[in-house]
Amino acid sequence: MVNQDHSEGESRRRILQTLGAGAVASVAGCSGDGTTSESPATSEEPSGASPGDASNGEWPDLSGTSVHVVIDGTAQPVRDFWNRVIGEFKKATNADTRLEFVGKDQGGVQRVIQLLQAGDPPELFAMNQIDALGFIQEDALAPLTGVIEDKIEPRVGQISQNARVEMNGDLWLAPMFFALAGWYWRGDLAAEVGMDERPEWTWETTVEYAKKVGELDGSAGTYVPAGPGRHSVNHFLAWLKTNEGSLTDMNSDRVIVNFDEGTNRTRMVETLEQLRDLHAHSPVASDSNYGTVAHAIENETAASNWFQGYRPKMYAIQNERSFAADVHCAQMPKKRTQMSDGNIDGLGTFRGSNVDAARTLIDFTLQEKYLLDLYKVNPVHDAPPYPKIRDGEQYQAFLEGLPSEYTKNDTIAYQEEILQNFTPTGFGGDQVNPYMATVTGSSAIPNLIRRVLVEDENPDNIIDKHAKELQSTLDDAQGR
Amino acid sequence: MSNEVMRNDTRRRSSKQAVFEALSGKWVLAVLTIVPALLLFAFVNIVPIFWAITGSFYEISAYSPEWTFTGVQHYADVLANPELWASLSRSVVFASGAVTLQLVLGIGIAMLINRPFKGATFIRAIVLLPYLTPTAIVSFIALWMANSQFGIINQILAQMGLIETYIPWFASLDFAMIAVILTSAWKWTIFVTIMVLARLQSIPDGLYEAAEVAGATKYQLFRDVTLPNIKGVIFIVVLLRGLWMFNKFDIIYVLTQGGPRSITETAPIYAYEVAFVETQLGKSAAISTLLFVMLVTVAVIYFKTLEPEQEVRVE
Repeated sequence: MVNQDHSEGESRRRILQTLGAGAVASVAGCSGDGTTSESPATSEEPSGASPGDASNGEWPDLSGTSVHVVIDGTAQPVRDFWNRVIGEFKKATNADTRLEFVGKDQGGVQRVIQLLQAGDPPELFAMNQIDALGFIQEDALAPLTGVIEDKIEPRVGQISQNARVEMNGDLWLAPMFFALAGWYWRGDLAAEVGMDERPEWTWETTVEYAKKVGELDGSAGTYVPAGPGRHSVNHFLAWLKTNEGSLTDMNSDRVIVNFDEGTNRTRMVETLEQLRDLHAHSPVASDSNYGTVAHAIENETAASNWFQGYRPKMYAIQNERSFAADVHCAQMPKKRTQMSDGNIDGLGTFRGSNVDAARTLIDFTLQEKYLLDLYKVNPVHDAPPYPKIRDGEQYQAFLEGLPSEYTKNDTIAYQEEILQNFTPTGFGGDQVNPYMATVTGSSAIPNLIRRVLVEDENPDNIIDKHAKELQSTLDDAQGR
Repeated sequence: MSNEVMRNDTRRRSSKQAVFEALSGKWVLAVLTIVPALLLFAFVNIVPIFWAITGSFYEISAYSPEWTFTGVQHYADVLANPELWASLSRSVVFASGAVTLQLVLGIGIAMLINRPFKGATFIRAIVLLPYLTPTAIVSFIALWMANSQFGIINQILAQMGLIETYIPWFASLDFAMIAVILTSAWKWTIFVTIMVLARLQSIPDGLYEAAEVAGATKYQLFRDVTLPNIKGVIFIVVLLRGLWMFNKFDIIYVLTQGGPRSITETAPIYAYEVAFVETQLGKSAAISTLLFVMLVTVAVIYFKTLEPEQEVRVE
């Protein structure tokens, strides 16, 4: 167990340790993506309501307290948001803040790993539940139960049940927004091929739509990602969940791969076959990534696809596509169950950092005014996990004020219907997989998908090999 | 000038002289010029290397700062794992392919732009661009150009009638490694060009004139005059580029993440996967250390057998 208190005494080793933590990468020639940057967090003057200050006692005086914040993301609106929040926190508490932006995807986790190894964990890191589970498993995160239940919830309302990252009786992540897996399609093309503009989506109707629309001139009927990377696994999981399938189980304390046996094997094969049937009406997409999936409808590569978030419609609107209003959103097409997948993004803090200061910062950040600002950065896409805010006057007025192409039906589909059946990736039933980051990061599932979709192999013949591959990676991660 | 002023002036000069002489002492000069650089080098290079070597003997979870001593267990595990050997063989393929291509193209370009022609300065500046551009940006441009939907490379090849369907260059089992090698050549060929060009420009014209008078053909001029003069540079370039390419991580990771089906998963990518997917920093450190030892061994053998230092002359 790492000491929970902030220890000044550790600083003597930190420079050397920080250097050392980069050694694995440097000896191997790995130098990261080089996108780390720091912000003084003071460039933006507070706007809107007064944040309060230490002198009036609204927030504690943290003079002389160092608060290190790591944010994954390079988009300017995200940076502007965090510059403002941390700038105002600094003014309100006199804390010595250090805001660090790192490259997107796994850049943030890698930076935090470096800091953990240096014995200098950050006070605040914005992460999703998959990453949080890994940190919880290794006893690296500090619980937030007190601050969430005693401070945040009384102010902004109770957190949605499916946004509670709860393990061992504690809450570990202060949620900021959902990124939900949804199904997107062009309604105008559905009508053109004689289907309902908003069909009842099942596995069968997705193939029917893709086939019929694909026969029109223009876009392919659908876009099925077959490239390497986490997007491929998340895409697959979204389909697998609607088939009541899973990749892993817990056996005592060990995470074991379960898709090579019994019912799960059948579900796995069915899901792969469904994707193969869909892929017949898709570009090969073996070089897919999150970007190609998010833009596939907007740039007319394809007429339908999955995405984790609302970007397919958002990009069509932002890029002023003539069909933007006809891009619709629904729950993932149903096979056995109406289950949806996705992530909950939130704030966490680490044992060994200044946990009290971190809790104050989390409390400060999760004020309604900041959350409302955050939800404006990616309209609809970042769905509020706080029903009181989501149903509140201000947020509803914001939704009403969006361009008409956003359409109320699609917003409701994304923020209400999908949410009703939502379980975050890594959580399922009573079981939590603390090694979900290893599952999504391993090449085993993308390789299996590629072999079925691109190389046309029979899934039943190759499942065992990739189950073993994933189990081996999981065992290494579990130190077995 | 009064005597007092002259005395002060003499005192000042003599104290200056004393400082100068003190600073000019062999050891003082060595300490002042070398030690700061050495300290900096040790700080940013040696310390991390020793950290990695030490860490390779411990079980280190990426998420926890606690280390548990395991001795040589990681080395035994890693050496017994066929994935290491597969990734090493891919590293060899990538490094040898990339270095060969960079060498051939680099020498060719250097010889082309060595000749005087109108706009030579401009062209020399232009060819530097990929080398000056960050690797990640070059990689993303390459990904965009080779995109299987809209990539300009596919469009051109299709218009020329060379392909019927667009090829996902970085996601094809047949082309991914070649595409990565070509992209690396695009980025780093100019390094070879710069080194070779500098050497070419120092070859006395008289050598070529004498050979031409003796009736040498263009090929003979290259073989008997140019090549012997640039041989030393080539030895150094092959060593440097070989080591750098063998260790190359960024360009491959951005382009393919080691895919498709691991065919571009070189040893550094494998070490990265072990560190950040399996979250086993100690094991990853063992892989990195093995790579380090292998490269040092290769460099020593290279110097011992080929003696490139004998080929490098200072004119």
